Amino acid sequence: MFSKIFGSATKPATVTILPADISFIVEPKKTVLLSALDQNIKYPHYCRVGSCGTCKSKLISGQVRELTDKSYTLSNEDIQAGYILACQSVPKTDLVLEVPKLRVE
Amino acid sequence: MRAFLSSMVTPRALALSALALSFFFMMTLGGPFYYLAAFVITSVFSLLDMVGGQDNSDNDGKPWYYANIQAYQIPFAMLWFGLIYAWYLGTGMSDLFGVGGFLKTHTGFDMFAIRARTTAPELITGGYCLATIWAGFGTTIGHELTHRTWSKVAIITGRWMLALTSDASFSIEHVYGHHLTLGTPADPATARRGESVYHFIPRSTFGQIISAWHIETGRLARKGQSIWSLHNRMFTGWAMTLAYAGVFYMAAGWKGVIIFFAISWFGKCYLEAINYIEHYGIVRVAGTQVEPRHSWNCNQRVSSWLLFNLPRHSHHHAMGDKPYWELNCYPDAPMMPHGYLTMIYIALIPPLFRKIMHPRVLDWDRRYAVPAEYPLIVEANRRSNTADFINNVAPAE
Ligand code: FES
Repeated sequence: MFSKIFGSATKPATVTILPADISFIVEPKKTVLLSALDQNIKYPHYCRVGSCGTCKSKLISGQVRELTDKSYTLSNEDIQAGYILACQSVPKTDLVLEVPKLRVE
Repeated sequence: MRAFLSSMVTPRALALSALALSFFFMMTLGGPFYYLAAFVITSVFSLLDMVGGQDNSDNDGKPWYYANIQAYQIPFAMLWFGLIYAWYLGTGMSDLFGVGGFLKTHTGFDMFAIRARTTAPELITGGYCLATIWAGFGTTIGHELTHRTWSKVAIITGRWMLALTSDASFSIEHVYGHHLTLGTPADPATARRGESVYHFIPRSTFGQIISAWHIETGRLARKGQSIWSLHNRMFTGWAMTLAYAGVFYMAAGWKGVIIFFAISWFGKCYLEAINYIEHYGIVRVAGTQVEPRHSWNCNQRVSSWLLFNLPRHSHHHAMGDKPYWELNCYPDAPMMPHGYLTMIYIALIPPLFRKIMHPRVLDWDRRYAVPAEYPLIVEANRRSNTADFINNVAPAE
């Protein structure tokens, strides 16, 4: 029921980042960015509040709930191409994201 | 339970509650009590700030719900103070929203009698109190809440608070502009080297409104929504201010409206004076990470307590998503020499401000700037029109 009201998953989601092919778990209600940072993954980011666009990521599969209006930050082309802001996105399902700047060291 | 109680009963919480209560009485009793309130705001705060020392504790460890109760109390107080002041502006037996009649029948408190005795100087003093209270508490909480971009309640409450000082669009420019452009020429809200507060206030105010307009219309265009619609948050923000003006109109006609805008704009100037001291003279290469060194930090206890940790500005700008009670003190960041409440008055006297801040800015150049910023420093110095800076060779050393 709660997942209906809040539109977010009640169980952890697995997020996979391409092309680096890293996976990590996002706990319910947490954003992709903060979960990644908590697990010491160097996810590109800067402002954490959805205003700079540094964390933009292409949504390849899955669904997210977005905390803020990304059209303040992303261009039309980006939005149409399916980009989301990792710092403002809470997974509703497992996700596959494309983040070219994220590399494994 | 004990942990809960001990988190509620801290010196900070008690001081703030006592203060809130005393202002509630002073602003409600009106009349000569306005003088007392003005005295507290203008002198007592600054004096306490000077002797109150520093608060270098990190992260109060206060539970979020408690800190949020504190924060969300402020909007009610702000609206109450405004309402009561508007009520006193009325004449004769006029009774805005029936407040006077209600209080008289239920508590015996006779606002009509107070109004009949209130003099013009008292009302003017009350207006000054209201402006500084709106600016000091309303916009500080408005700022705090509009940073919580993920919460609709926070954003709307915050915008209503910022609308008290006629600029709800601050919520747009500050988060999507200032936090990204800080320290660069593109930021209207960074005070330039050599610029006085009197030059800064209009430049920053109008610069931010223009910038907010561009950001907002850009967003609407991307969403395919019309600029001329209620989706436009510039318009909804102005409507909020007009709604307040409407209440003052109901209370006291056009006189009320004029007084409202005088108070509101005075408050806005106060808010911009705070903006002025926060980043004076600091430069940053556009597009690079905002670091704690890009703000003048201040850990003065009284300023931090009263202004919801806004003076802990270094951490705020480095991590804009942190709520106020998680802001740390960053003792190694560039420091403001006095508390905010003192610095504002210093800023009003430009020669004094220059004398105090220019050595600090030069020290910033030597100790905090990185080589990539040196060319910007040289340029900022050249444009400053001030001997202190033009003859400075700090970056070259
Ligand atoms: S980190 Fe800036 S938009 Fe996500």
